[in-house]
Amino acid sequence: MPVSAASTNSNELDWIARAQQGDGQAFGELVEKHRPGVLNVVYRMCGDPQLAEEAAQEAFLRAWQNLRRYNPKFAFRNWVYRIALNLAIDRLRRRTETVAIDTLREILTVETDGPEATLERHEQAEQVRQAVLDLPPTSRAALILREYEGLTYQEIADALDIPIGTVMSRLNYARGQLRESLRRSWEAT
Amino acid sequence: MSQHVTDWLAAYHDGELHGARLFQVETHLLECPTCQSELEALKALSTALQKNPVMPARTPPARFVAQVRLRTRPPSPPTLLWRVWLFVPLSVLGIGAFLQAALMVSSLVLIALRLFGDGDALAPQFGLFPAFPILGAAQLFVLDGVLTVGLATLLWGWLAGWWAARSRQNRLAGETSG
Repeated sequence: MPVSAASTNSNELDWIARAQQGDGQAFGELVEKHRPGVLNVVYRMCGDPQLAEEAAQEAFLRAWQNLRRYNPKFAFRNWVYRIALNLAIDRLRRRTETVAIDTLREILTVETDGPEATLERHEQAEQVRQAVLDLPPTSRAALILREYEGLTYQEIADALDIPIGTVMSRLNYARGQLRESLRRSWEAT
Repeated sequence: MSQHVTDWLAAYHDGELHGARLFQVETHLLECPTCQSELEALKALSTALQKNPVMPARTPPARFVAQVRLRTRPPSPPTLLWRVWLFVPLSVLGIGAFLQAALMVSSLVLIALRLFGDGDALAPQFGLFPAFPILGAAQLFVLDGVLTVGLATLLWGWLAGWWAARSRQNRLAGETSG
């Protein structure tokens, strides 16, 4: 059952209606609004900023090409997430090496602690990031939408086109795996 | 102490429980250190995940939007070929109905001629169907069969083409399940 588009405000509905008539500027507004969310979702799925940007652009292009088929009963954000996640999963399947470890250096640019604390924080962040990336793509997608984007179970179900029960089981599985994986990592260090 | 609520703790942590189930979990948590500890572990995991930094900015937002817009073109209206394609099933059904009606009329006239008149003498007067008097019932039956099979093949072919096009669009829209 689709949820009402809680995050789809009247401005957005207007942009969508205009974009469906071929108004590129209105679509630009939609892209601007949802760019951060889509980028983060794809980035957390694949762990590679370059790939994430490409996939996010591709996701918006496909959204544009298929706008006529968008169902306003669903939140636009979730629809674009769905396209982006499918694209990310598709690209990950085609790619053997998914993580560019050296991007960690680019992640935290402002350092206020001493070098040891900074290094430790980096290591922990990298362990978490790696543990998330090691999850199966379907569970990872559910976890990212819940933990980072704050979607409800119903919204995740809509975005991934799965029943709510499956959302719960994927989240439980993902969290269980993460806890186990992080426990091992932290015990080893 | 009531039964552990481990299965519901994640949903509780995510704010997805309501009514009696919420009450049950909250009441149990007050008295169960095991479930309390499990809930704390869930919270700690969420905190650790939140520390995972967001994506490092590469392309400025304005440029990102401009790049997407550069690659967008106004959605093209349906082409003439596509419009014609949509009329194929209607046309096939129309032609089929017309031919069936023609065959039916032919059969009736043929029967009338056989019963009430001299088919050879009357034949030239039926300009629309000059050949029908020489067609026997068996021939009409065969013709009808051929017509039906041909039209059914055309319709199924159209349906297969339509389904293939629709599947491709679904893939493009990313609507296949992940």
